[in-house]
Amino acid sequence: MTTWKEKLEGSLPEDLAEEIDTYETQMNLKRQGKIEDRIFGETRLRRGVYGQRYDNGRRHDGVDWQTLQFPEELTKGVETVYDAPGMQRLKIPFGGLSADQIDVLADLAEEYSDAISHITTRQDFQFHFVHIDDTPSMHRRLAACGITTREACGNTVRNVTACPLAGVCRDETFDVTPYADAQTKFLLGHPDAQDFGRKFKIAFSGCQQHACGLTTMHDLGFIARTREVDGNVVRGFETYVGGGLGAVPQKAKLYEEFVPAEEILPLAQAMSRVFARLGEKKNRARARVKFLIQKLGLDEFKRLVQEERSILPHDDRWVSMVADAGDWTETPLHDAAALNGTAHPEGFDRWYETNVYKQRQEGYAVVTVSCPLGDLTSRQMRRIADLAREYVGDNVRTTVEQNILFRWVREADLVTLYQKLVQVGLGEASAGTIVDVTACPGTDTCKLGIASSRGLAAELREHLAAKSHNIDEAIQSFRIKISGCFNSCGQHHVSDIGFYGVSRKIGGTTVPHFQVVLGGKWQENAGSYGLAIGAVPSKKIPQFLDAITDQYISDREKGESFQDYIARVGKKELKKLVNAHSDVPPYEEDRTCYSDWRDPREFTIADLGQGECAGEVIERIDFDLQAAERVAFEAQCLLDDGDYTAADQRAYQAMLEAARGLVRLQYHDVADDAAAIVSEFRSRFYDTELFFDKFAGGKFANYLFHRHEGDAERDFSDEGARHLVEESQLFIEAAHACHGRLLEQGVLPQISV
Amino acid sequence: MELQRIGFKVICLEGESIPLVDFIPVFHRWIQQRLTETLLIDVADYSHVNEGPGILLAGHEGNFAVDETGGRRGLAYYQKVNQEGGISARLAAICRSVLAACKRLESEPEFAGKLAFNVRDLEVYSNDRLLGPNTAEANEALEAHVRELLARMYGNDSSSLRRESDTRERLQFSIKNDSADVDVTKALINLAG
Ligand code: SF4
Repeated sequence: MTTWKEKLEGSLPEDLAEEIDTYETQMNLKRQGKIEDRIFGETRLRRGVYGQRYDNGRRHDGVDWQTLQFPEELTKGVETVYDAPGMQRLKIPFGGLSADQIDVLADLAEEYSDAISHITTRQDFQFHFVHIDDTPSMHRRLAACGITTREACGNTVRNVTACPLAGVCRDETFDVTPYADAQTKFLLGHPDAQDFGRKFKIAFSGCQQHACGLTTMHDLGFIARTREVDGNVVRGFETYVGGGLGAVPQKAKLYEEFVPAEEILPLAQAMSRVFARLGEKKNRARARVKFLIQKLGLDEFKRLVQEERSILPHDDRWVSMVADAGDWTETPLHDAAALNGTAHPEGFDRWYETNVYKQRQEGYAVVTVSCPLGDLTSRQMRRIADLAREYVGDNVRTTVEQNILFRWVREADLVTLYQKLVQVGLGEASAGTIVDVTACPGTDTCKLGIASSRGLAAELREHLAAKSHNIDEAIQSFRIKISGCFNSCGQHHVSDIGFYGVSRKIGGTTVPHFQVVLGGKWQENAGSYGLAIGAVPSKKIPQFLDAITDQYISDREKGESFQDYIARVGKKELKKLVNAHSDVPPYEEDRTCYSDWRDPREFTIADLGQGECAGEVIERIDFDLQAAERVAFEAQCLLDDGDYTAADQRAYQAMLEAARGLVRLQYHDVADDAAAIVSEFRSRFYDTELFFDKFAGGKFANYLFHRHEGDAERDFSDEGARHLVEESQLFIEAAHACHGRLLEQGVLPQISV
Repeated sequence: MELQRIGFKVICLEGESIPLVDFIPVFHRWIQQRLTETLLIDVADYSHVNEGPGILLAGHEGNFAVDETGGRRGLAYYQKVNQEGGISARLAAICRSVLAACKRLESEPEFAGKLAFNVRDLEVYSNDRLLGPNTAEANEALEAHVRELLARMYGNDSSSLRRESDTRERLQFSIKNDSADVDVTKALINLAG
């Protein structure tokens, strides 16, 4: 049977092709029981392959527990059934997409998911209900169009986000796109960014005053700045660290007022090293960089990062990757032309008001395509690709508000573009309005979801859309954001009105509720976080929303913002409004509140699974030894195929991988070079006898030394290769044993750099 | 033909105006009571998207959906995992799965007298651009097998098949057979025989 691997042979970048082959080998090893669940779990997360609700094989159906009888007992992570459908997340740096890429996403959604491409609150795409066996083909088809899934999940640097208006914005200092792009490429797979205790999020913003970049809620945030140095305008970034939402939201702190552009990559690298070395690894709840800064204090954190920066081995890419950023431009597909006298069809004026942004480049506009709950069908995706080709070329981006932007639309095309969007159900005039509710996946698919954020969002959208023509101007541009739990993926802290899922016991029965968070600030890069007021039963949220907005409209002082109003009225008063909506009738009288939106099952939180948001914390050495095993496995396969020359070389490579893993325990920056690895291994593990087996002494180390020393004059033979493959396996076993002894003795050496 | 991922959709005769969300509790009940031969996992609500998968009943072997793709509501089922047997047997098995689900849905008390499927108005598609791309060659290969199945199901050879012309879309046939005297039950019997 033909495979995508065969079909796409030669059309993938070599490094991506190899990465995906490696991942597929790891899947095979998993099937053979040769990789532990916790390591394979983190391995797949680092390929964006995420778990989904009920993947532990159990589901509460509202009446009773059901065991989902998947055909196999195999697992793909701790308590995660191999065959259970999961989620695949992609990395879309700064949300930038081409028309051809959109076409590919449409195809993948149909063939492997449920024909829905979902835009996330981090400008990514994700697909649900995907079988893990389909993921290598997906990865190859994505790689062939320039999209990676690498480090889309897990304890890694996540998608680097940026203002979707970058480059066309009327207020920006400069276009941050090329810097976000450079940061992505520099850190992707970077050895210094592989050993975190938790994820690390980076964002770029072109200005301070608008919301687009949301830098203050990121681990590392960059705001564009310029400075005059010797009469020249120099680019740089006001830099923030340690922000984050989650259960304990924290605004990022100012790290440096001006970091020159050519310093942002080494700064991120040095910070990654400090985070990897000193960040919490055991307690996931306190493992984000914000907690490290809290523990050390900002000054000490800065000192450590600066110290690390000063001893980083030089990397030419720090400068070369941003050198041409000032020349970075996008090419519009058509010459500029103003909106002419074409008659406006029904609905156009309202849409123009909400969904069109006049670019700083005369005659061009940005069009926001409102995507309800961030969902697009495959047919809509293909239509978006067609319209992109017709009107803007590859100038398409996603937004953290789960919409799509067409940039560089010449104004003269707005009417026809609007009409064509309406034809595919994408002409809704709601962008940036109260109707454009955003939500995380919640209980629909997320294992940690407590309440149905998407169910509530869908309900509120309908509720608000029905009266959208009569919504008071004072609340028109309110942001409503919903998370299924306190982890805040829906970004509820930075919305005017936010909700996150909680539960309450009422008369012994569990009732879905949403905690109400009021007065967060979306502007000024998520300028402030909202105030948690109290919990309202899920089914009563629409009435509560009407009540709080009506109260604001009638009681606000002239020109008073919602944030100021909330601060003035205070928690105590607002709590009264919450209390007025918190009554739940007894179960025997009315069961409405005892189930969630769009889910008739009697509510339970027993379905909650173990989250994979952070992944398992796996030490670097575990990955290195696992990589060595994979290479040894490949050597065995090559031997079976009769290719003994390649088998011999892979077996040697496997030993080098294992040796390097051990060396890295002591010497982080060991060069990726056989001579350097063997020399360091000899002095650190052989001469010191750390590698010595109680009975075999240094015998296993000699397998490596012999192969390495005899490399030049090696006479490849079937028998020799067979021998070496066996030796490589023994060497890897010895490396595992050595690591185990060091752990037992608590003598894992200090890292020197 | 190696194609495995095949989908069928039976178009609604009546029931276009039933709110999509009304299908949610019914599908949950199907999971509770394990009402299909395949493993059902969860229900997903896509009623907010235009002409999309509507309400999805996700399963292991395949997904069901009250689907509105192309602006036509119907019940769809598409296979996700490989099946035993040749292409004809696989087509027939998937067709039986969707017909059985249509029959069950028609008889749900919530939809009594309000929902009916027109078994003479179908769509069949290849959900695999590798093994069943929308090309003339694959079209020819699949059409022969589909016709054979339709002849069995309808008891005549007069089905009209229209192929999807946009080659970026999946290889798909829209099928009509106005002269066949079949409803869902009879079609199931014909396929069983
Ligand atoms: S906020 Fe909670 S429910 Fe929503 S995606 Fe994040 S972890 Fe899941």
